[in-house]
Amino acid sequence: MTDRLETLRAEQRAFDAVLEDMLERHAGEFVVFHDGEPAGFFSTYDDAYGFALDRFGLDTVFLVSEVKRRRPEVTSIAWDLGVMFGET
Amino acid sequence: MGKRRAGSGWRPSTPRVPTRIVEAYGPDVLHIHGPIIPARWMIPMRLAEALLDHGQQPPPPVVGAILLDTAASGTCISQTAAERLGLKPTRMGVGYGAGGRHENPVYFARLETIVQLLAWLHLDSDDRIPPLP
Repeated sequence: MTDRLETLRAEQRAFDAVLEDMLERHAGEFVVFHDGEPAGFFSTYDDAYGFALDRFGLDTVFLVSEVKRRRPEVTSIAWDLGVMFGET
Repeated sequence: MGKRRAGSGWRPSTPRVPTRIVEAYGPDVLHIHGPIIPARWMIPMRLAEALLDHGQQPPPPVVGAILLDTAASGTCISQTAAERLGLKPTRMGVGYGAGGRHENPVYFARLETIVQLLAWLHLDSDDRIPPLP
């Protein structure tokens, strides 16, 4: 999990580095990032996610994100505590 | 349905329904547990299809109760639930809370809430108000 998160952080940094450029032509679209490069732009998150699964498989780390500037988010304590408990 | 007769005061034979909502668990449940509703987390349909394509069975839903915050701007999943479903994060999100800056993995998942209608509202007119879907 730690390695996956480290790889995802690298993808996130690559996304952040070119966000301003992407905003000029792809604002509001959904992008897939892999190996530090955009692999495709899509009109819905679901399409981007499906493309990434088809292209890179189930175990490869990829990033899917809307092309937009994000404001800092207030983290809910519920995330750390877990808002949902249950048995499968 | 009977025939309408002018001046007879006839009304459709719609059965009268309760005008109050009856809760099944008592007020203490809300007091103790807060506004929680039954829900279940599931993997996205795209992921389920991909798993089946690879000869793997999708994991069963994670069933439990979710805390409903009508003013929330996002939805949080517990790390435990995400791991039970085998979800992999699709981006990193930065947030600020009581402990300072946090970097959180963000997941793509399906959340199904279960709302059961306990009563119809009934007006004096013949109109019925349907439940929310």
